[in-house]
Amino acid sequence: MTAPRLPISSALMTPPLMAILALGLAPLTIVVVWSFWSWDPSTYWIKPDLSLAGYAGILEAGRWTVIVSTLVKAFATALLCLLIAYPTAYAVHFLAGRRLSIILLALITIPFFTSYLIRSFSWRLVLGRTGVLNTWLQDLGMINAPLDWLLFSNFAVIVGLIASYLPFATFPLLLSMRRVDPTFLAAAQDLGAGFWKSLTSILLPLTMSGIFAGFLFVFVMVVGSSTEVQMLGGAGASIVSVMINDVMRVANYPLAFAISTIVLIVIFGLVLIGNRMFGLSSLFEDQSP
Amino acid sequence: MAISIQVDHVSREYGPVKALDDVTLDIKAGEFFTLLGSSGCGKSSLLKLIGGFDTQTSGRVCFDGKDVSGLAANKRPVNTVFQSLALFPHMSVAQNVGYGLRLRGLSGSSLDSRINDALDLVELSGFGPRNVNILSGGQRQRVALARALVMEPGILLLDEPLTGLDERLRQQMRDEFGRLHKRTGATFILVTHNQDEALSLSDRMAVMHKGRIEQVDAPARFFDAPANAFVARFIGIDTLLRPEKIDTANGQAEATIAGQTLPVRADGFLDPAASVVAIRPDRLFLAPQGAPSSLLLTVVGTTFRGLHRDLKLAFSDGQTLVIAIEADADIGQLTVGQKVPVGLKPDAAVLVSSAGMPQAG
Amino acid sequence: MTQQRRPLLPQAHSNVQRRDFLKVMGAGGIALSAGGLGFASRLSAQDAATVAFWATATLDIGEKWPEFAKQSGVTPEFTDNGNDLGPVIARLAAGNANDLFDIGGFQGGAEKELARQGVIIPWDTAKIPNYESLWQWAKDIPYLKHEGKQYGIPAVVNADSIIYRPDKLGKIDSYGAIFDPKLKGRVAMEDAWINSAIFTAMYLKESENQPIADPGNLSESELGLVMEFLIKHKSDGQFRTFWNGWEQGVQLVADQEVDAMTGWEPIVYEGRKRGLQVEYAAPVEGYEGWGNNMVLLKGAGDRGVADTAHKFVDGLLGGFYGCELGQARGYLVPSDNNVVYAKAHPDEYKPEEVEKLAEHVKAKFGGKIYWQNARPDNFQLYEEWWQKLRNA
Repeated sequence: MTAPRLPISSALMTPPLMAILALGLAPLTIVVVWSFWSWDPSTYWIKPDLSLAGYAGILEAGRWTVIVSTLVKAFATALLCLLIAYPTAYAVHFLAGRRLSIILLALITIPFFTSYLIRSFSWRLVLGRTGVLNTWLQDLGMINAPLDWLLFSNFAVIVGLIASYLPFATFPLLLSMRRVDPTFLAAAQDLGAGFWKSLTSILLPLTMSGIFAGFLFVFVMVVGSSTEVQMLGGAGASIVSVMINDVMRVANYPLAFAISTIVLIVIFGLVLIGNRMFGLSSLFEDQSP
Repeated sequence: MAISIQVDHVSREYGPVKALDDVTLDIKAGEFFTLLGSSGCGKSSLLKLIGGFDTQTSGRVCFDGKDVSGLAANKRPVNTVFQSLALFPHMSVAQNVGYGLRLRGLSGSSLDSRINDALDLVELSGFGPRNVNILSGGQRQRVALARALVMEPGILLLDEPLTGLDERLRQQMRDEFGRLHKRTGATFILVTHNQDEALSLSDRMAVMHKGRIEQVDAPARFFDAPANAFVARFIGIDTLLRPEKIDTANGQAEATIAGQTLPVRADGFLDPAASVVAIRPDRLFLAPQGAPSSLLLTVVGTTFRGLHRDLKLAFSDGQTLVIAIEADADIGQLTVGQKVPVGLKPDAAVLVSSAGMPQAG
Repeated sequence: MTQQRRPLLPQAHSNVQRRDFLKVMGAGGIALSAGGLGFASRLSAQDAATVAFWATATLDIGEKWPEFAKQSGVTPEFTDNGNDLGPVIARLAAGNANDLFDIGGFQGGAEKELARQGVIIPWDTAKIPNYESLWQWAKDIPYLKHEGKQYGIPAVVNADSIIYRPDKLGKIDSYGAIFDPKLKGRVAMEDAWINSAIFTAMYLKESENQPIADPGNLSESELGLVMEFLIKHKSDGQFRTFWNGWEQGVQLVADQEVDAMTGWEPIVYEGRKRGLQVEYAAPVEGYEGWGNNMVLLKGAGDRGVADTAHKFVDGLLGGFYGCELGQARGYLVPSDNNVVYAKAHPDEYKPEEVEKLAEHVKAKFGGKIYWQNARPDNFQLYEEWWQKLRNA
């Protein structure tokens, strides 16, 4: 990780660094700065009069509850994705043969080639009143009338979010498991550990960076999502992106930027905490000797 | 505490590939036993079956006579030092060593004292809090040993544990294994492809080839009586000569090679078509002209070997043998094509089965 | 998003995807583009026969523009404006939209504000011969004039009400059905205040005699009344969902998720195509009329292309554009020229179909109409109330 500090290498580093600054940091800085400006009715734009009106707006009309519920949805989805992705990654890496693991990986990846608009939409056909699931349940005699809560509900939103973002949890986990020598598990077993004990004392700690990366990826994707909520949520269901869209539509830019700033702070905080606690960066480092 | 092992007609097949082919083997309690062979010979497969990391396709593995085939690795009285060592990178030295004991429910001072004892045993006293990832190769080796030995196993498996260490460390750790074997009294099973290790440590050893055991014996017996041409070559007896005929006179067998006869030790192999004469290079010497029971051979060349020289000599039919002579031995000027008399010390030549003899040999 | 009339054709997706891309970029990206960088650029220099047309994606007739240019003598360079009026106005007022575009095609309601900001200039209807062919009620759309000057020319109109299942509900002739507790969980509205607030206000004004002056431009207290009413019904679980976009609207009806919902008439046709009995209500409270009006951007005047712009708009009303848009999307240009053109070109457009569409829409506008307003005076309050509704 420590590159030799030669002039030539720093010269080579300059363009990517500039690109990162221009593409990543600059827009973020602008968002944060503009969130403290004021809306100017005469130009429909903002003017550099310092104001906390944007932040005050978050406290109105229950907007803060959307931020909270978005974070809760993101947290729940990320957790559920990990619960599904961990055994999947385990099976792909430790149990399946070469060919089977390629097939499993393809099955995980292929849905990604269809647009997420279409993927979300197709859940309406599965979970709806006349959808596949309700039809089955009725055919099996388990219910008499279609279950309305399957669609246009938080349940449907979470299902859609998991389906959309599951691979974002699976791949970091696979990556981190690849870094675990299977002999570690054999050694634990050799010393008397059963399956669960070797899982909790060896595999989980050694894949913590992958677990956190997967969590973070899904979390961030959900915070930025809107399609699943719009397609699968109940009447007026909201999420941060939908709210920002509503606010942009009436040109209330400081409010939109203030909401974005709060969300950015939460995500940055999460990244920092994660890196501290779980060594996120180790996922991308060379393996120890 | 030491446990004996009975391997009874065990085969392990991976599809059409036979990693182990009807292996039968008895290892005595407290023995230092080595499985020796080149890679792919089946020695590691056999170790896995003993450790419980794999299941045989047929046959039985017994500990002290009791079938353990259904017993998972974590239930067996066996501990392993893995080739890669498999030290848990997220744990300190003490946590690594104490891992198995904690699973057994030990904690507090009794745990600590056991850990310290184990570290003392491998001469790593005080290393407990250290990070395993930044220890030297030899230290890591000792931690792996301590982690296995602290469990006081009836059987200790050593899976090529010295691979990757430099020569000096290998010597050191080899002595360590011997010392620990004596200290603990457990049955030690070493898997290696390194003959030196096997010879210097083992009470007995097995040479394996293509999933089968070629010979099980005390180390010295391999040189006195290699079971066949393969074993002879494997342990370094490179001179294997095809005899024209074999006669027995006065209880002493004699083989004729390219018209010259020499005494051989024969343990029943009297069919010249199925036998070869294995000649130990250390039991040949350049003889004075006209000495009895000597061979007259043509010099092909010499090779400098450091502490000795290899002198390559040919029979008239083209078969060759090699004599090791002291580097500073006064043997005069030898020129290629010159004929020299060669004397044989007792038991220099052994008649062995030609099984495993390369066709071109 | 729902302000926009999603066309029946799949190519309309491009608009949605572009917007989603912006969302991915985050608010900062949108801000940058609104603030002046801009992603639309003129492909060629201004010349006499070219205008830059910045409009709702559904007004684009794509590969038919060359034929349009042949007939009208003006080639438009079409750019999708994203259809959210807030960012559009910001780009006109504070951004570079006036440097880039000559003509805007916006949903009605913002003309007054744009004129006040001085970012659009009046049309001279004398330079648009086809203006006279517009039907009188279209000329009377309330948003077209400001301080006596003509700022908007209506190019596309229609009127919306309720899509419903007569086999389940019998005949429906009131928005009351949407708020009928007997239909709890079986109705839907659009996920946008621009439509749902006006429908509710129309119902409260006409059928419950509530003091509402103009359902399209609610005062603070009227808005409170309307939204509290909506919030109450939403909290009671009245609505199955609020819908977005064409496919979702069709799916709600086709898969029998709802028995009645406010929405666009083409959904009725699509439902029938799928074998369902679906009707479009003629409510006693009237229809919600909506229109896309052409505005002349100040930049066009500065660059001296105002005359070309007039010629372009004249072309839109000339018949060909109306026939094409009617055939492709079921939209109506409110002029008799469509029928005239179709009769002259019967191998391209069926005159009887063009006439049928014209008569059908005309009939809707024969009754009571409240005009959708993309930019009511209290527009930021609308958003605030909409958030309250979402979070109720």
